[in-house]
Amino acid sequence: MEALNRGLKVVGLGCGYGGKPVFKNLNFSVRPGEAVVVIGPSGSGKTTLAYCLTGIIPNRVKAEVEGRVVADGADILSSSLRENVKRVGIVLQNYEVQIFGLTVEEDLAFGLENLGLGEEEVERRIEWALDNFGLREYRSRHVHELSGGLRQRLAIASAIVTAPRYLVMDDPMMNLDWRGVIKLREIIRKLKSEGKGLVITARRLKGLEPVANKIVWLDGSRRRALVGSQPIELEDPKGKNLNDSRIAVSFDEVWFRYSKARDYVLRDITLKLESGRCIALMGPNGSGKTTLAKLVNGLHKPSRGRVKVLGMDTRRLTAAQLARYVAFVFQDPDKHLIGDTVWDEVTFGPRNLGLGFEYAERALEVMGLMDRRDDPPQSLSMGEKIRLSIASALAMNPEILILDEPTTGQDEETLEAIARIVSKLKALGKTVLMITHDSDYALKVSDRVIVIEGGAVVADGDPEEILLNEDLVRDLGLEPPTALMKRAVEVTA
Amino acid sequence: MGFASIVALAFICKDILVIGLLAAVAAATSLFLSSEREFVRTGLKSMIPLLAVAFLLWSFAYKWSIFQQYGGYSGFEVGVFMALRLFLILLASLNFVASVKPSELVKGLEAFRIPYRAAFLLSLTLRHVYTVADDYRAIKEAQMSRGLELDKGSLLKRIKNYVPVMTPLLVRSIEKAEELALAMELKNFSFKRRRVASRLKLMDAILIGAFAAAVALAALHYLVGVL
Repeated sequence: MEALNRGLKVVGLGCGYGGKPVFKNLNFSVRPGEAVVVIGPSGSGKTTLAYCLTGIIPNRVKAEVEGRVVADGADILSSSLRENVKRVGIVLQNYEVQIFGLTVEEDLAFGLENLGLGEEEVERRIEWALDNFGLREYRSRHVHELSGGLRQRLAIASAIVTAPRYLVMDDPMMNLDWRGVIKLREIIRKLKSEGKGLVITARRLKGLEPVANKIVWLDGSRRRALVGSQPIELEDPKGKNLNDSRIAVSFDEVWFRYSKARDYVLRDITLKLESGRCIALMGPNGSGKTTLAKLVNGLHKPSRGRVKVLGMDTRRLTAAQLARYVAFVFQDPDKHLIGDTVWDEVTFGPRNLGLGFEYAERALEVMGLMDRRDDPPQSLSMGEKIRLSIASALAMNPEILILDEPTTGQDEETLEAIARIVSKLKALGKTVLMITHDSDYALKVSDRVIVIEGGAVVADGDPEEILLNEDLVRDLGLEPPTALMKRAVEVTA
Repeated sequence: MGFASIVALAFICKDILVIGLLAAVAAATSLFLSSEREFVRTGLKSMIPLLAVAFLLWSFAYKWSIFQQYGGYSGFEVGVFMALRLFLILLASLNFVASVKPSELVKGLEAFRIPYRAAFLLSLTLRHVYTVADDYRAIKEAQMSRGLELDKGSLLKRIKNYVPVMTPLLVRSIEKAEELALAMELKNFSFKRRRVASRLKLMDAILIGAFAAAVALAALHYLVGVL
């Protein structure tokens, strides 16, 4: 009898805020040992669904809910959070706040101690988690010393160690590089073999196919995902031959470290970036890509060697002064949105630089945000926020544009808009430096791919030569482009 | 160990020691600089101006000070004494901050009967110091990249320029606090629960005993005139 009840079931689930529905009539179920992947772009309700599955909606977040969520026979939506957490655990999108201890061991112990378990049992579970999540060597390390990927593993381990039968992971792939995705798959496999039922939300299916037992598409995203695999129409042909391109940025035997006590993060980098090109900077997390990009806009100065931007030595100028020529679009728009309105936000740069607002106006138009001009930035969706960041950068009319992971938003419209901007900038003789994990996008949009690993340049050349070379992609730990994945047999890492 | 450090900290501040004894203790403490040497050294370096000021100030101004017990000593001797004492306190503090684990801190404080709520908040703050610091740096970089000059201009202008950095930081911190509250509920957190208390180990007991004895001796010697 009990076997019939087993499973996390979603029946006719619909949810919305303030009268506006986010999704309606969802039906699926998860059995122990299965993984269900829920795909949807930003704003489609992934986090909302995750909250419904654990009872955070309606217990802590107000929303209009209809339908039922049942875990092993218990009604989630009408039970308290305390009760629900025993059955359905969750790793939030922002897993940082779920880490409470100063060290790895402490954090694992935290949730366990709250359960009132005996000291021996707590010890036992901690040891289990350390072994199964590859955390043993980090046992006494301070949490803030660990990389993002490790911290995520810790968050997952801490959620599982209290032994819920089901686990929801809200967009765990967001900040992972390809190697991280492979490790995440291992963890998913292990959890499944332990009999856990998993629900994983993601922006795209890529990377999760081998571990997904079922796939649920939110908000017509199936249609859009298919569209994404077709080539994006660019205004200018990519292979434009600019004979008169100048050197926009040069790196001359550049070494960089944060302080004398620490290792060099960048080693002996010598590069010349030409104007009128789009250069993709790729490589695993922690390899130094963002650091390298920050050397271009003067946020960091080289410890050894020289960086010249448009002929100027970066050591002589502050970042704010270089902002006149180099615009940096950061990865997390929430970090710097300060304006009361979209207009305030987009004119922040020009105001600081003493420029007029013509470029700001045009930037808003091009990014399709003109009608949101007077709205507060917080009311925008993630895709729109990213577009706003880019518009703010374009408003300063830079010679060089740096984009840090522009594809994280995964909004098809935004990606197309970005691709169009890139080709326009190239036609005007400007330079675009794009840091990305997304090999498909790099293939479509960039003229040159530079791969960084361990602080050194390990590959530099034509996108097709690098990204369609199976061995190279595997050795460098890059995300295989869709073209490669179609013909390759999945290798279990 | 953290427990013992708290005791050490407390007693050093209380006593009035003779210069010679102080110097000896200082030497002994610096030998015990094991882990976190870098952190302590950097901390001390930034304290040098403070020490210099203390030294000079006390050397010349002691006659007007509130603490009157310097009979016999004069001028630079007082300065040296004060600077050394400050140095000791700093050393102990730095070592403490660098080596204590929040859980030990919490347990130590619990033994002193400070409510669990306060102790937990303290440990959580420690854990999130780094996250807030990271956020601060990220926001600063983002705004600097948009032309915001942060270290130039008059004092007033500088303060004004920091607003675009502080506003997002505050907003983020508040959002984070809300998420933290949610996360705590998800971990079945309860202020009422009495956590598993670990027994005081032998090493701790010995150290506490030793420090207590030292305190007692010093107190007897200086305050009571015995020994």
